[in-house]
Amino acid sequence: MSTMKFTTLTALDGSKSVEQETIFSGTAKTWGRANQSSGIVLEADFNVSSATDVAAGNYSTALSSAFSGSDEYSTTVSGVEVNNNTTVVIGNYDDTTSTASAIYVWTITNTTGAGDATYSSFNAFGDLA
Amino acid sequence: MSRLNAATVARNATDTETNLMSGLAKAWFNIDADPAISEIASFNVTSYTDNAVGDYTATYTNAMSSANYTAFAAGRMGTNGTNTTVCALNNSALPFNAASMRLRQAATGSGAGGNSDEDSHCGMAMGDLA
Repeated sequence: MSTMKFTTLTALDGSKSVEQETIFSGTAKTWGRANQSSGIVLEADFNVSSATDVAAGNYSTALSSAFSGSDEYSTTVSGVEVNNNTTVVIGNYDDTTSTASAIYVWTITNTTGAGDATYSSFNAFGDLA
Repeated sequence: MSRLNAATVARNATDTETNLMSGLAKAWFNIDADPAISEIASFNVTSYTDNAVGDYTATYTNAMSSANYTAFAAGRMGTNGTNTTVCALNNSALPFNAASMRLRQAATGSGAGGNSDEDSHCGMAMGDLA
């Protein structure tokens, strides 16, 4: 293993550069694509050890490497349209359930309220422990 | 041309390593779809297809390695809450396509079939490139 110390990465022609903090903070620490059609199946993921089907329209993902704190990261989520029934995905509930090592995702359809979605996506940015 | 081979980076010797290969977004874009698609900003997108009202496809310059990746979509809040749009991956595009992302934009409150072309529509893909 080798170590390279840097403060700024710069393109060869000098046209672009990026500071080290942008790289550390701007890189997602986890992401996933979940299929809730039958239970919960992660069809693609990074830094997720397992997923749990909590209830209709609600699942949680346990992280392989946890964040440094329960509220020290940001989650972005997205849903999928199915037969004009668009799913809205909510990343947290009352700011009480997601923890440093688990992200909870809620899916809500525009006709039925909380309900399982064909697909939903999530990611999270922050510092790992 | 130089090439840096490193899978992870860290702030210092005790910092947790950051996985650059998996954690970096591989494509993103912001388009204005009203009245026709025009690109506002993008990375790794070569073209867009206007499939129908509120239905777009963004084709990657460098494709993903397989259909096993994840994608995100976002809309916008209109003036005074009007014309707020919800964006999502398009069911017609399922299963995922390694070469492109298909999105759907619908105005809230318009009910089923309320597809709408609006001023801002964003997408992002995360996973492995081919």
